[in-house]
Amino acid sequence: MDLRAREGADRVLLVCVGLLVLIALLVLESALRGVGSGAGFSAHLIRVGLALVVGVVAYHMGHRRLARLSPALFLVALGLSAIATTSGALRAGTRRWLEVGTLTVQPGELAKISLVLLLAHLVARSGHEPLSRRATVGWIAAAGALVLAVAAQPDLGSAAILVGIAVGMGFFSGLSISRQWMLAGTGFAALAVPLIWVFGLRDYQRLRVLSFLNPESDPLGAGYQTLQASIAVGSGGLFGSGWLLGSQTGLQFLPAPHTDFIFAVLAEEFGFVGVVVVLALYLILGLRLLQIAVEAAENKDPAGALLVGGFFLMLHLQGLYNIAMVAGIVPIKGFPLPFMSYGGNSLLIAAAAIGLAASVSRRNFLT
Amino acid sequence: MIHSEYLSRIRRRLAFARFPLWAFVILLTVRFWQLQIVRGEEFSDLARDNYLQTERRRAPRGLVVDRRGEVLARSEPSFTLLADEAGLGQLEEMGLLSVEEEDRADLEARAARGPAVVRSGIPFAEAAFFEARRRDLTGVRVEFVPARDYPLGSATAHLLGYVGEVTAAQLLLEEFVTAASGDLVGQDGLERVYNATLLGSDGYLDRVVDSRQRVLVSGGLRRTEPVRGETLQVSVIGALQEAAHRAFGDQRGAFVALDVRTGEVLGLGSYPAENTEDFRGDAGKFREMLSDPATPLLNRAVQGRYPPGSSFKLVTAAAGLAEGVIGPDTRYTCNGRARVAGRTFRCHRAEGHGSLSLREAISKSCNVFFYRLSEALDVDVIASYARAFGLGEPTGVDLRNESAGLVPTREWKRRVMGERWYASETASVSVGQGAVSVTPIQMARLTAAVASWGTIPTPRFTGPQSGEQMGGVLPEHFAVIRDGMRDAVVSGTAWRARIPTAEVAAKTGTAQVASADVVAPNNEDRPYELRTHAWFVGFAPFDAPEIALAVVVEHGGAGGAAAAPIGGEILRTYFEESPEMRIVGGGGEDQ
Repeated sequence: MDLRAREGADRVLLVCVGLLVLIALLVLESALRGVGSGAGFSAHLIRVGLALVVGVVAYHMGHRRLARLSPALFLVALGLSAIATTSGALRAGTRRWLEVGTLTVQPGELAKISLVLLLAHLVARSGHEPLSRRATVGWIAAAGALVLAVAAQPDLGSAAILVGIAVGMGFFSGLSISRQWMLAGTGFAALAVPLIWVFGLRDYQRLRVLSFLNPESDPLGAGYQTLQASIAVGSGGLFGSGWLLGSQTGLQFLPAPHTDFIFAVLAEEFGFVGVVVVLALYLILGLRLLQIAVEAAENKDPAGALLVGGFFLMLHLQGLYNIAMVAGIVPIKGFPLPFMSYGGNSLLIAAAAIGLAASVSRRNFLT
Repeated sequence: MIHSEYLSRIRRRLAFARFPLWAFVILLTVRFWQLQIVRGEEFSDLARDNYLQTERRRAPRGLVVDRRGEVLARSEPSFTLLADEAGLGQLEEMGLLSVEEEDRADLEARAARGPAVVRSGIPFAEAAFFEARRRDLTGVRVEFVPARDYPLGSATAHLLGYVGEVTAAQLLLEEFVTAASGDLVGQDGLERVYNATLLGSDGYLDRVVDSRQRVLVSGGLRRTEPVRGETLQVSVIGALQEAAHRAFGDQRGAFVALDVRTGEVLGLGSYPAENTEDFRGDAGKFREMLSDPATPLLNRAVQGRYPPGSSFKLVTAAAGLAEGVIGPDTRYTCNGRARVAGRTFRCHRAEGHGSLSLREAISKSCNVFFYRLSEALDVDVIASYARAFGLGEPTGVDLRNESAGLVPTREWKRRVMGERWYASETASVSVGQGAVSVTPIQMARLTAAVASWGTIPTPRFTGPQSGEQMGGVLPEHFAVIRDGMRDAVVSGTAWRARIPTAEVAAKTGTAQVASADVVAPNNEDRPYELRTHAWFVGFAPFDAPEIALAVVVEHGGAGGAAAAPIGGEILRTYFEESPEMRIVGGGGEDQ
């Protein structure tokens, strides 16, 4: 095996992510035409450049150095989430954003990567042994607190992703089944607390669930989004309407075409063919991440394995949920499609994750 | 060893995660296949529905013109406010929906089927107001809908009827099978009967709009022009309608004028009459009329049932002559009263008319003569002549809901009242009292039959119809009756119908609505509802009859005093109008 050839950055990761970002630029050009002020194509280009820098820095920094910072980073994310919950910018009835000057920070995104880093760090600290009872309790407490803070914003979607990351990484770390139940139970309890707090679902959530169950019943209400997304997707057909030619996108029938529903724009303008290409890229990306994690475990680097496994969960739970939402098979949740949606927070975090994964990949062949 | 056990567990679990990843990606691929390939067409149609908006361009209804081409009904430019279900909610939210509780259910039912008329005839400023708020009021729109206008107003109200938005119930009828929610259709009168003729065909204009209903493209797409409905020429004379309307004033009643030669309706009116333009978008006004005791919506000319009183003597006289019971020279003596089958009947002239012939009995309207005649006629015989004159059945005029009236027979009484017929009742029937009831149009038709020596016309608004020759009554019989009618105008009860331009023959009637024994003898002293109905039936010119006329003034008093002047006024107007409109079928042959 030619180690030198693999010495550089992981090519599969780079090609997959690079293609996704390039396709996203094409789709965004179309999606942004109908969207009004504040959302410019050049702003996104700047963020892509910034993300590249973040990825390169993360790649060279390596996960071991970063792991030492992870408890501090985690506390920052927890603190920001709590601040956002109490005094964040109110948008659409929720407080998920912190506005710092012209920048908008989404603590939910930071929370996801910091949780992955923290858990990987805990595994590293335990040496080459399964997590002790104390470490497990610490992990459950940390994950529970973060989930609670995010769920209270309320951002149940991100909270559910956090639960998924925590439970999934618990599984990867070799936790026994009974401990995993504890972990899952704590996560779901933390999810449920804000629900009980507001006496059941909030109006918009109730509407979203109802509209998901029967989108045609209220075409101008909450079901409007699901229905318009399905129309955009379905009318794309095999080859799509062509770039910039989608009527659902161009005439603004599709809601949030540049963020939550960017996959619907792809489906409308590039058809089933475009959908299959992008799904394949996400599949290959996921398989490659898992492969890197498996190789890290084989190289006696359980922390690296957990880290990359956690990134896989972070990116793919969110990504596949977003696509399933566009396909109309799960209720609408407002989170972005990694690598593709407009907006900086998600892109920078994803770039950092890929940079770190590439660094683990490189180490697999250096040791 | 422990280390590698631990690490291989991590390795296995990470490797396992590939399976759910594959499963999700395959699941999503199948789902997108289903949405994009299997159901692609369906969603393409929905996408087109989103951006392609079809504007309906309403076709104006056809004109209705009278015999001379004078416009009776036309379509004027007007704005209409329409809303669908969502639109109703939006209007409500903005506090712009002012609909009375009773109309709400129907409006909502109509809106559920498509955009429904909320208000019509709205002013331009209001139309602009709604047009400017298109983005917020996505379910609301203002349409340019030609509104119906009736230049003669209430003078043609019952004749023309009115147009209104097709109701939810009407949409289920065969008659309105081509109508869509929001369509204006004829609701009554000629507007309803000739709805299919008058209805134009709407044009369509496609436009591309965005999600905020902003129009992006409006040219180069499908565009069809609206086509105005056909013009309906009817046989009536506008001037006659107006003259009758003026002559009736605020009295209740009806008139029908027929062309003796063709059966064409020259005029038809019912009073009180309201201008049906006022119905536009004002359901409150409409409801008010429905509950008005004066029943302004009832078309008395074809739906009103009245006892004919002495005007029925024309039937009794024809029966007596044709049956050979009397001849032109048969004389009876009237001393003011007659005793028939143990009951005493009075003549209107207490001191009596003395000895008189049938001709004199008709002109002076002597009751006793007919009471004597009735003793020799069975009620079923009188009934058979009444039926031969077209009473007791609808005339077949092209208006809806015509009444049949009633011609009593022995069998009828047995069936309905379960009693046998009394001879004294025949005496009542012979002078048009008792159970006999007729509509004004039946009496006009009967009069036309007398004028034309026995041809029963089919009344029609659109073009001449050939009449039917009645059997049994011979020309010499008609001669006696017609002479009696001429005398009635020259020197008898109908003298107030005399006009300088033509020789008129007529018969008056004063129909009791209650027995004179139980109410005040003087008509003016009775409560309004118990006063007599005043009748006038007549034709002119005597030698070559053109127009036959029936007038009834509800609770108007004596026929000679109340109805004959109105009849005279209508006839005077007819003969003063330009001669060309009096030509047979003059311009009426349009259909």
